[in-house]
Amino acid sequence: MTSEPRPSRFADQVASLGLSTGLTAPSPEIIDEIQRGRVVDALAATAVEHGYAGVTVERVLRHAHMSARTFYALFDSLEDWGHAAYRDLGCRFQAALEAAWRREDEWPSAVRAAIAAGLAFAAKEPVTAQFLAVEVRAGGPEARALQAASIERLAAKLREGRSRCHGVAAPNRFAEWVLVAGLVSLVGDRLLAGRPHELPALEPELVELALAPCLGAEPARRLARG
Amino acid sequence: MLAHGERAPAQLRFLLVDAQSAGSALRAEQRRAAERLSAALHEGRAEDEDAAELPPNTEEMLIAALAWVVGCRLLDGESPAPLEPELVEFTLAPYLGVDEARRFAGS
Repeated sequence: MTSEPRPSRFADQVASLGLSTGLTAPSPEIIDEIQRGRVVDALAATAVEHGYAGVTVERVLRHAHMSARTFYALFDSLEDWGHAAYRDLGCRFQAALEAAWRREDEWPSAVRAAIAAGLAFAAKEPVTAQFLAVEVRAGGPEARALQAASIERLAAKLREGRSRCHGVAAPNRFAEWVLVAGLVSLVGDRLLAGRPHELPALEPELVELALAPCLGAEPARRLARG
Repeated sequence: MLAHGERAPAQLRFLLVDAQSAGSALRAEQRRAAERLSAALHEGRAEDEDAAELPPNTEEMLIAALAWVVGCRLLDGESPAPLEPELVEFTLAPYLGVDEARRFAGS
């Protein structure tokens, strides 16, 4: 009796990335994606090291071990590249939060899961998180607008909880936006102080702060600490 | 703070935003200023039983949020002054509750 050859798990994973197991070279699109990812990560690291104002093409290329020719084939300008970095890294962060959010059915649990995911992301990728939370503010109006839009997406998730404000006065029109900005800034301060390892322990506090305006202090405390 | 922002927006912007990415000495100075403001807010915990049990970093978060919002307005070249009622309400709500904070803020 002959058995079907079992597909290799590695081969499946490689194939799912659009790569091959070595018989053919990756497509130019895949190579561009990889190069772009390297530049984006290098930009974040350079901004964290020198401040956004200190980001130059030379510094980033040195970080990325890449030639100027390759860089200019991917991006038109330093500005174009800064925005691409914020979008790419911001999407990575947002995806982590949204995946955690979707796993929960109830709004308070979803808030808690998203905060835990955000803190875990920042602890695991402190350079990326510091770039998104702190450095990008020095990146000009368009970079700040991208950051404001990210904060608004998170604030909108918190605003969904207003339907739960039974017996508690609803907060003012932009309370959630200010709250998210405060939480992001709190995380940014820990990162600037070089203490990313402390972030996951902040979860119960941040959850309580996020839930309290809608649920009231005591229920928020119970849920956050429970 | 908001009045200062009206009189000297560039100065306030420097204190709230630029100092953050201007090296560790200035950042430490900014942190000390935030701690002084946090200590002043902390006194609000005596106002209410619930407030006494607020999470330890509440004041730090509130100050950070205010600095962020005011900083954003200044970066965009806009006056932060019109936001006063909402910011006062946001800051006082954890200590007084939203109703009382809103009444006090006149928002």
